[in-house]
Amino acid sequence: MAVACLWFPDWPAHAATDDPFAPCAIVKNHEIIVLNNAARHLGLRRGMRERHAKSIAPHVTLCPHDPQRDARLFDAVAESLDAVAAGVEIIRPGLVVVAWDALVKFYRAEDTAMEKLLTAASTPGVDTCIGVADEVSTAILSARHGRIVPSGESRAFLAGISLRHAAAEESFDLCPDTLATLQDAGLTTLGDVAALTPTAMMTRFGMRGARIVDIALGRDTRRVAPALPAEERAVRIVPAEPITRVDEAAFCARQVGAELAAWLRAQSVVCRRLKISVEFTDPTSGEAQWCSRTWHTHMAVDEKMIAERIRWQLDGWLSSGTRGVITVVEVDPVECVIAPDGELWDAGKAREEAARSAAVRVQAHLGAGAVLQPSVHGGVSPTERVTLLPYGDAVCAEDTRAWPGRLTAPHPAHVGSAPPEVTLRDAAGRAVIVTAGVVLSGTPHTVKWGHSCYTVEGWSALWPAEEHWWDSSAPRMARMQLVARDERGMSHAWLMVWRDRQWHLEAAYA
Amino acid sequence: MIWEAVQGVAFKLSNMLTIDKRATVTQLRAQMAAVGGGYSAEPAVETSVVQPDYSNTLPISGELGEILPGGGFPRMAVSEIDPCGMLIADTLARASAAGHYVAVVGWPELLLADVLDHGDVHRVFVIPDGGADPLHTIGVLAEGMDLIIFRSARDWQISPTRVRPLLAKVRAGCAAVVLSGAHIPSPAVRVSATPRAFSGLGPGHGRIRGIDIAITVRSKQQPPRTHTLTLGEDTHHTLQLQHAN
Repeated sequence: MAVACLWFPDWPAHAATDDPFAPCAIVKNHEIIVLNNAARHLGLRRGMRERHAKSIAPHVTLCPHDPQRDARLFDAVAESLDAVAAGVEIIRPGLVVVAWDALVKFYRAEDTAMEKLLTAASTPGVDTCIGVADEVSTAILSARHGRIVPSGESRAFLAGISLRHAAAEESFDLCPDTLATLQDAGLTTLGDVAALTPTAMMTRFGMRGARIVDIALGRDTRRVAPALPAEERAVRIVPAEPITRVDEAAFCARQVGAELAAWLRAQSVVCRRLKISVEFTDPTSGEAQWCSRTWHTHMAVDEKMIAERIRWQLDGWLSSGTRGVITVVEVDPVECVIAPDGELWDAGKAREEAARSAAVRVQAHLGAGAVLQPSVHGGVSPTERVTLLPYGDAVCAEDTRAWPGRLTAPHPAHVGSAPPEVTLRDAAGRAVIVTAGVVLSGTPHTVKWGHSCYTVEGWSALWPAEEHWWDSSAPRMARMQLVARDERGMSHAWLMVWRDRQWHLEAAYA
Repeated sequence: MIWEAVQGVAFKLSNMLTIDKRATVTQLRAQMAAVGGGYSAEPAVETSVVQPDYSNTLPISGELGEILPGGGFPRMAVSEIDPCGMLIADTLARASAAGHYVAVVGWPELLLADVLDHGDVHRVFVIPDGGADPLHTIGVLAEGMDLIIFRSARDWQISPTRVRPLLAKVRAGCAAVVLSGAHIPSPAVRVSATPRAFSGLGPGHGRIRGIDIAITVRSKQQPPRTHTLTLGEDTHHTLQLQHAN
């Protein structure tokens, strides 16, 4: 149980008026957003229009929405809470969270701590509700229900909370459209939302769905700011002597790796992205510059991997020689996630490890974008089906062997960066083009591109590419294989494409 | 009398020499070995022709592997091949399908469509630009990869001073390095490949079904071998059948 939450229901209404028993409502955009109990008894409700409210209860006090006034008056409450507890954090006027474990430790008993909090928070005419839970969002909901949620039972507690109650809490900032859609689908409680897969929620609703899922699963990892200084995440080492040689760099890397791995273990997080920053000092001029490189990994890094990467990175920078000597080494675990299902390290086989580490070392030397892996996509032409992505990014390896209409083996092997334009002519010298009926307008006899001229020996039928058939402005293409002979009698074969009323060489069989 | 005695001794000596020749020779050899100076008591063994060690080759399936010595490219050594992209893409696909890790350095125009169809994309690494010192990059990769193909855009005669550190790293690693467009003084295997004919296309019908490539393999272990290899759908179809079995 880490967080205690104090809720002062209808605080803006209490801040607006001195008499708590006089009916009062706060109006924003001609709509009631907050009202006190006396107004509720008269029949007014949140969301009601101002004119409707006036027609029901003519003598109710309607005040304009003023967050500044609410905060100013709430400050007194917060100050009195500060006197009894450290780490008091205001979420909004009327909602406060307090670091609970530290407080219990200080007062040595939960009952005493709670009593002190309630006494400090009590204001005449204002109710105070308290709730305790592990996470901030769960604690807020528990305060609204006046429950103490034992440690580890957040999910069970949240399963029973209806979505309307969660929507009533404005600090959650839940999108009403999303909630309406969920209710239309028949999902009424946070337990129903938790039963869905988070990916499905995110796919359908985006970040708003992610927010609801986080609340439903109790995945809010925000901590209440304690009075103690927060732990530094980055590991920084200032070597006694500036590092000039690779073996010194290796030693430093091992040290940093061990420290960082210990920290990650203690936090029970795994790191998937490391940022290595190094300060170089020019020994002659004394000026310093920072160089940094971020490492991207699929899997969680362990101590050996951290040390390896630091060593290779320092090796790469030192061997270029032009920057100077290393005076500070800092490693920041940029992307830390909770270890899934308790697994912290990836097993990895020996051969795969060796190949992987070789690729990673080249990345250290040349840059993360220098080592690529082919990624498979659907498509007709072999040039469309292959994309190269940096090693470490997800490689999509779907099975596209049966893609309808694809060109079959043997495949061309040479692709130029810019497909050159070629001219195809028949025996009479007229240009051979592709007609609307997807046939050639004549018999090709010569192929010419640049300064070279080839005699055509054979050509295939045309393969029209019917892509984006619903879009009339999409380019129409047709492909053809062509074999031709040059002046020396050598055979060449190309994959040609008819596009923008012009022939291009898409790929060469070379 | 004395002459008889001398004759007798001579006869005895000659008898000794003929009968105990082997024993005497052995004894003399032992005495020489005891004196030292690198002389061994064993008689010199007649050495036959040294058989090449084929256990350290990266096996390549298909027709290319059949004519390469040992069934593939030698590991921990540098070979040469002509820059015939289709043959090399096919070789990469076969090697990755067999479970080996392959890397291609300095060949941005190479289209890896064969790897999509018949190989394993997760085992292929492409480094389009080898950096200022591509030989250093090859040396680094040699520690972990099984097959490295390096393409030099210009015709590069690598000087012996630069070859030596590369060879040292390659011997310390486990990869078979194959250069294309770059030449070293003595490659382990030299493969020349020229596309000769494209079959399957007629005037306005058909499609390219087979590509004939004339290959010559030169190595120290065997005389030069020539073969015409055909790349096409049929060869891979057989491969898939083998995998299915």
